[in-house]
Amino acid sequence: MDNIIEIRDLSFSYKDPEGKLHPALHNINLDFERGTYTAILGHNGSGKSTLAKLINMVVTADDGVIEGSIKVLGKEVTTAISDDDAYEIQCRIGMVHQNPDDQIVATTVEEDVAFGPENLGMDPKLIREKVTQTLAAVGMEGHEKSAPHRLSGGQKQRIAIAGVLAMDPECIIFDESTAMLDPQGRDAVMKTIDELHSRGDVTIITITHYMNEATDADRVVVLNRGEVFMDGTPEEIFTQVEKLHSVSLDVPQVTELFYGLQKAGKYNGKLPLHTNEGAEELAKLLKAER
Amino acid sequence: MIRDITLGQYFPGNSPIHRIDPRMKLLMAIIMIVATFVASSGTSFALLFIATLILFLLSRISVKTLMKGMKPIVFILIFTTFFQIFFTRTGDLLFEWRFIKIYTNGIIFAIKMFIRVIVLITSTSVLLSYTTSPIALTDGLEQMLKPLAKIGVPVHDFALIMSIALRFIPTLLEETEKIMSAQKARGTDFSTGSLMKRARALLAVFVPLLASAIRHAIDLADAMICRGYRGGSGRTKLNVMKLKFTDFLWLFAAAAVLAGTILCNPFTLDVIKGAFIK
Repeated sequence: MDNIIEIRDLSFSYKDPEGKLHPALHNINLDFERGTYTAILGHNGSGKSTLAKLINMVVTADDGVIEGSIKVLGKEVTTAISDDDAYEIQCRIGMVHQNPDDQIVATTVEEDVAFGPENLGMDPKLIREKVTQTLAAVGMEGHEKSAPHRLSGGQKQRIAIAGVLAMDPECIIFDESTAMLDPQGRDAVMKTIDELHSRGDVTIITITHYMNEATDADRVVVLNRGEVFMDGTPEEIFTQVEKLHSVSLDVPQVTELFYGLQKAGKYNGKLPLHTNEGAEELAKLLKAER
Repeated sequence: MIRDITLGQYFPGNSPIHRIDPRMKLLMAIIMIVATFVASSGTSFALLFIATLILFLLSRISVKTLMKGMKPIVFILIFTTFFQIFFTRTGDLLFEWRFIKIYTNGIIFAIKMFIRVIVLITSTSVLLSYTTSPIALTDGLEQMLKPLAKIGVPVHDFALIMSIALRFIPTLLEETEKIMSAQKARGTDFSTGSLMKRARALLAVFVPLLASAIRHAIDLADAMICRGYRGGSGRTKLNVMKLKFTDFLWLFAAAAVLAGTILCNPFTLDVIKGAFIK
């Protein structure tokens, strides 16, 4: 199988300035297959962001103690890696961060989207094409000359996605990219992610603590206290309501509702994950009641 | 809202002046500054004044806007004009009342001084601050200073620092507003009390603001590395500045004004002088 990222027996501890170690990840084994969409779930402090930062070498052996291995695009990134290899990986694995304001570099939207391709030394004509293409892909065409600070959070985040897309990455990691957005902004960003996934050529990894955002993924990985707690399809994961509750994680609201109905003996079908499925089931139930 | 403030005094538009290449505008501004200092005779001032008027009219900036920009210098203008008129003691005596004596040269110097300042401010602000966006100006400067990079001047770094500063001004202003409201909600009083007291109240804004600016800087640096930034070498630009034929015409026009000013210097405007002499 063609794995874009392979993680073997990975443990990581942060080192604080006094040299004390703070374990963040423990014995992680994960493979990310090319073209798939994986959601990594977990509480704050479960190690999910650390994992993403290790993959993209924002966190390195300088920040703590790494054991085990991470292979990105076939290259080991945990040990000494040449600057050029590191640079290549960073260009091919894009990352969208949490705060939209902290990833916008330029004073106009088009200049910002062009920042990555400019760094790659692309031809200006090609950059222009990329800017037009990627802004259309995130639904932000017509904002080329806008000033980023006048856009909403969701719009800024989509500009950031366009900026990453413009570099033609093979994989995009969304590190809690919706955490600072309002519901509309969150919906717009999730829709963009779904569209990217349906194109099928990029591998997508989202890191989130919103359960609703994980239901559209091909695969859900639940991290708890630095360990892989669960790993499977959204159906496999979210139907194990009790197991998730035991580490005080929620399931999507609609699943929670049907879980309640199930416990009360009113429902015995498959637990729905999406609101519209839930609505249909509910309509059926109500009809049967009558 | 604080986020709606305009950066500098730039007025977006599409006038002929707006369309001049920023590099040419910088050169033209320098030429105009030199011309105002070189000018000495009435005719050369008249020429400069007309040239500036044409620049101003072409830029389609409103008189009101220009006046607003002049506000800070009105005092200096009045002050110097006053001194020129009352303390120049050469030329023919025009008017005398007790100790006040006004001479012809005083009037002439005052008018020249007035025109010099007006031309200086108007031409540079019409060319640069009103019609050139800060980012275009930064790009223009970077391009012009590029040769200095060969002798080790970090031109690209300076330009990047400038443009990131411009980018973050609105963000930090917004943050200042947020912190101030948060501190107000906890009883900090920014508007009354002695100067010391108010300064101390502002400290409660600056410390968190500085902390957040540093956090922004670290996150931005991470984001930039993730987007393949590794310094200025090997970078290309989305918008390549290309000099058009008209840009050269403008530069030529500015040079012509300077040449005209120098050529006109020997000729005085005797018309004005004649009108005042009894």
